[in-house]
Amino acid sequence: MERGLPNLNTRIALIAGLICAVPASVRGQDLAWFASRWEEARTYTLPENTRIVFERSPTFRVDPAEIDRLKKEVAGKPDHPSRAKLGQLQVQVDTTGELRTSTIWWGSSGWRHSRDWEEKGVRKFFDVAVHGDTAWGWDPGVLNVVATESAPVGNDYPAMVREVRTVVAECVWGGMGVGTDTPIRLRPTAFERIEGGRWKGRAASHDDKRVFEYRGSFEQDGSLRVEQSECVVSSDNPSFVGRTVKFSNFVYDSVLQRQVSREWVSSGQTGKEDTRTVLKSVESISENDLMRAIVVPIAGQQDPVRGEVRLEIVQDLRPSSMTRTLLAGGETITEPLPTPNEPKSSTAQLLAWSIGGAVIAVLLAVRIVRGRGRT
Amino acid sequence: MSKNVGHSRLVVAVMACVASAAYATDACYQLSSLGMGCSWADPPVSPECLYDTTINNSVDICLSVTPPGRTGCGTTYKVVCKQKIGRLNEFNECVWWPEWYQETEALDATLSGAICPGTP
Repeated sequence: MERGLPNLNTRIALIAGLICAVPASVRGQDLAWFASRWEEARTYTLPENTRIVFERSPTFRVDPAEIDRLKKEVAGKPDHPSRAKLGQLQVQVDTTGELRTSTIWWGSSGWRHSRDWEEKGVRKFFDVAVHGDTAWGWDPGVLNVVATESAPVGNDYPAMVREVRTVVAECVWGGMGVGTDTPIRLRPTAFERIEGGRWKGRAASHDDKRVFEYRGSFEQDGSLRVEQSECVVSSDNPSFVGRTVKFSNFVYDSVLQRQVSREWVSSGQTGKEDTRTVLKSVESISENDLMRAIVVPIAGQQDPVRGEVRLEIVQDLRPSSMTRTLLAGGETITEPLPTPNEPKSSTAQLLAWSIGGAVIAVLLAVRIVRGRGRT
Repeated sequence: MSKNVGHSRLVVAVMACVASAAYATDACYQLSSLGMGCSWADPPVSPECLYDTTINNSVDICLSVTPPGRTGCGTTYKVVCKQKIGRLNEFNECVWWPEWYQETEALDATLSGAICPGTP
């Protein structure tokens, strides 16, 4: 037996190999398991016919000196490019701590995301919905309707499901799964069990320029509970590094049938809180409730959220329609919207006429010269 | 963007003037054309992004005020041209929340008075 054993160096190498190999195998299994949880989160959708309400309260820390500086910079210059920034900061000062409500209706027939907020005491809203092959966006008084398959840039309401997807993923999955179907194509790259029954995992963009780290504990059934996510690498945009979201107040929700976080706080690089989001309610609704919420609003009819629909402009950007309707004082004016092929500016029209005129002038000149040559 | 804002202020000023004149003299106004209005010359650049355009080729109202003596019920038109500017988030998606409120309003006119009889 003794002779059959390898020499001491070989034995040490074998033992060392075993020590290293086993954790590596476990690590591989753990990453695969983490990736499967990630995929579960990515493909998660709210239960059929659900309404879910969130409240966000942003906390801004605007430097008064910055506002004063911008005011001096733009004084007497109505077109100064810093005016937009100044306006934005002023809005932040005016509205800090105010609640914004997000109400989401979700089902296989479509979805709606209603956002409500106040600005200087004036209630505002912005509603977006998708219903079958139609989507719409509704600002107070103004409704834009598009086809889901051909929504133009600037009215791409179907794509605005991204905010819905993100807030739901934060609530249910601590943000896991978000980012995979985005331009950076996030995918899980590491998972590690750490002391105290805790874990940490990482996900990186396809080009590894952006990396997020997730930390948390395990639920009683062994599933993951994300308690914190943080952007740890962002080589193409350093402003994201250190951006952290902390999840808390975990409870079992009977409608979603899983543990969810009822409150999460995001903070920027300095670690100061900038937004607190609270899950206010989750409820099952009827198909009829969902349909009433997502159907295209019609002026004068009742909307389940806004009451009587009051519209001044309806812009129907569906290829089959392409019309704009003005509604005011009981009068309705509908006119066709220009198609993309039509000249869009007076400059283009002027140019076209100039070229046409020049061609005619040249032809006339040639004809006159030839006529003189014959005589 | 700033050019649009400047342009819009000019338009609003003109509109208000015409509307006031119509109201003060008990005149009527004629909606003579609905044409192209604000064109967004400067698209937002990263990290800002175009999130929502309320009217991407807005309505431009041309008015002609007739001599006084006409009466009729008052009518108000409000024409708006807006853009919501979003931001690219950490996933490079264009998102928008009210706390980032940045909306450029290029045309906003309220007209008071009466539509001229016979206006189509």
